[in-house]
Amino acid sequence: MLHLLLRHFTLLLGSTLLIGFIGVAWIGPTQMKYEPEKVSRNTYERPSKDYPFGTDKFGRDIQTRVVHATQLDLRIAFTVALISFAVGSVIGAIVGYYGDWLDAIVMRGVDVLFAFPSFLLAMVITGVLGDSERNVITAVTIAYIPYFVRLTRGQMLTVRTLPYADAAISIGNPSWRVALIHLLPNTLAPSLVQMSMVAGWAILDTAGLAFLGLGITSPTAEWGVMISEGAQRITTGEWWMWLYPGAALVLAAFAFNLIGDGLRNLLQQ
Amino acid sequence: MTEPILRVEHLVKHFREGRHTIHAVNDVSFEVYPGEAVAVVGESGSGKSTMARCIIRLERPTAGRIVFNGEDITHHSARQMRPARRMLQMVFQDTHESLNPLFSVRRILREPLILHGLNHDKTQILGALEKVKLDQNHLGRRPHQLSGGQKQRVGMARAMITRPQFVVLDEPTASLDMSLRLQTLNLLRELQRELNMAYLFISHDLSTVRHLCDRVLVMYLGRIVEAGRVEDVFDHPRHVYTQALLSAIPIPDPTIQRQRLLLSGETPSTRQLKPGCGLQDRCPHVSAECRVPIPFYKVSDGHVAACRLAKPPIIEEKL
Repeated sequence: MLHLLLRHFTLLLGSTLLIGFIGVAWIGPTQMKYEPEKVSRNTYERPSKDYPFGTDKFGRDIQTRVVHATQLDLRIAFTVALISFAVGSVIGAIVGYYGDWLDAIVMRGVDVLFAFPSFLLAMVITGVLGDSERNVITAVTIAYIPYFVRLTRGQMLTVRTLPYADAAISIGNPSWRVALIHLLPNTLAPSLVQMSMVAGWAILDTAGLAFLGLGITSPTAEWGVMISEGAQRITTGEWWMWLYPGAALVLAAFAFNLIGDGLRNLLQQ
Repeated sequence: MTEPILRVEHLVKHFREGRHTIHAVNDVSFEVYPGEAVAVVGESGSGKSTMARCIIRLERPTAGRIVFNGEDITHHSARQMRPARRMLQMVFQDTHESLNPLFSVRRILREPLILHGLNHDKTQILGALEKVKLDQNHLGRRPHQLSGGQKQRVGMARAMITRPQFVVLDEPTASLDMSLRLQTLNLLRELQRELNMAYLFISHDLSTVRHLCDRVLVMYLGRIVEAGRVEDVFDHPRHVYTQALLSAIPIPDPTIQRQRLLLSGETPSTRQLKPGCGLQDRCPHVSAECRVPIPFYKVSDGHVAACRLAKPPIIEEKL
């Protein structure tokens, strides 16, 4: 029992953290005394009994804002991970199964997307689409779809030569069913790891874009927006303004990465 | 005369491998009649499996014609092939890898029925399971929860659940241990009788062939070298290769002495084929005739061999 616990320590720690975050995102907002965007006269308050994490320059409660931001950032992370996984895997499966010219065309496109750092790509797409939660999700999703395409395609090249692929054809499956119903599900284990990683990266990207004033913008409660506001006060000593959202962001990204690593270990055994 | 269920005419399959061409199947012709079990024997690399994969159109033939049930399926696309697959099934060699690891036995067996628009009630699936001596306890199991023999029988049930007229069996007993082999062969024979199917039984295990099949085709280097009824070919082999192949069967009786016919040298590469007999560099009876294409000589009714030793003496022919 103990050695199992130790062996899967990363997975356990990651999931515990994530469950904590999900709990906060779920019930946190209803427990808060303040509104996330409600201004007050108590600006730059140090952490105290009334304001556990202090207040910002508009007198908004940092704790309330961090908690509301948790919901927003997790929502974006999960949506990005799910959609990029779904779209990327299906494209990868089809491309890997049919191969030939389709493969050549799509994979060159993927190579082009890979040539840009995904954050830069997300930045450009958000810049073009405009600032909104939906556009951030779209932009970051597009930036991560190539990862899943490449991963699933590679897996597909292996499984499509297995006898059960031949068996699926020989009993009369149409080729789309062979690719998507028989083979795709057998390629998904590595994508699961990738999904967890992408969720972590998506949070960092969303916050990063917001920090630069793209996508989610002030006054919305979002970690990147808050860190950006805190960064302006970093030399004047209002440390609570950047520390709490910053810590939340780091921990959330850390949780997803731990889960990804833990899953990888689990699946390799 | 009944129509053959399968007619293979001058089938050729080449693979490109870099700058080389692999001559896997070279001008193979034969017919299979309804309800008959035909064996294809030959050593590994003789093109048996490639030929089978061409017949069920997992591979595109390079040349030749494959006519199944009166329908020319040689150039059918994947989509055009689908209706024919109900009647043309295959049991795969690798029992462990030929079942989708994520599918339950129920799903594996139901799928062919759904795909061909057949009744896919539980009773149908249970009936098929019963035929291969499995029961409803196995319905919910995944392949990894089955033993090797059970997996093989699920593979057989999957191939036969649509009541095909023709089943290709690609070394169905190769991955099973000895005790299961006989059991599987008996089961195959029972199923054949019950469902009146034709078998194309691919094997390098000659003792199983004798047990199950009516006719046998001996393949060497992608060509048929001898063909005929199992008793004729096995008891009176005429081609030197067949004789060598048969003399390699172990006899489980140490008191019996037997002269083995050992061929010298290795099986030549299939990258470059010489005209004439494939055995010309290894055969002790080789002559100039063997270096040009050799026709099939009739040995007896239905028994032919592509070997000059099978050539009837000229005097007999005149009489």
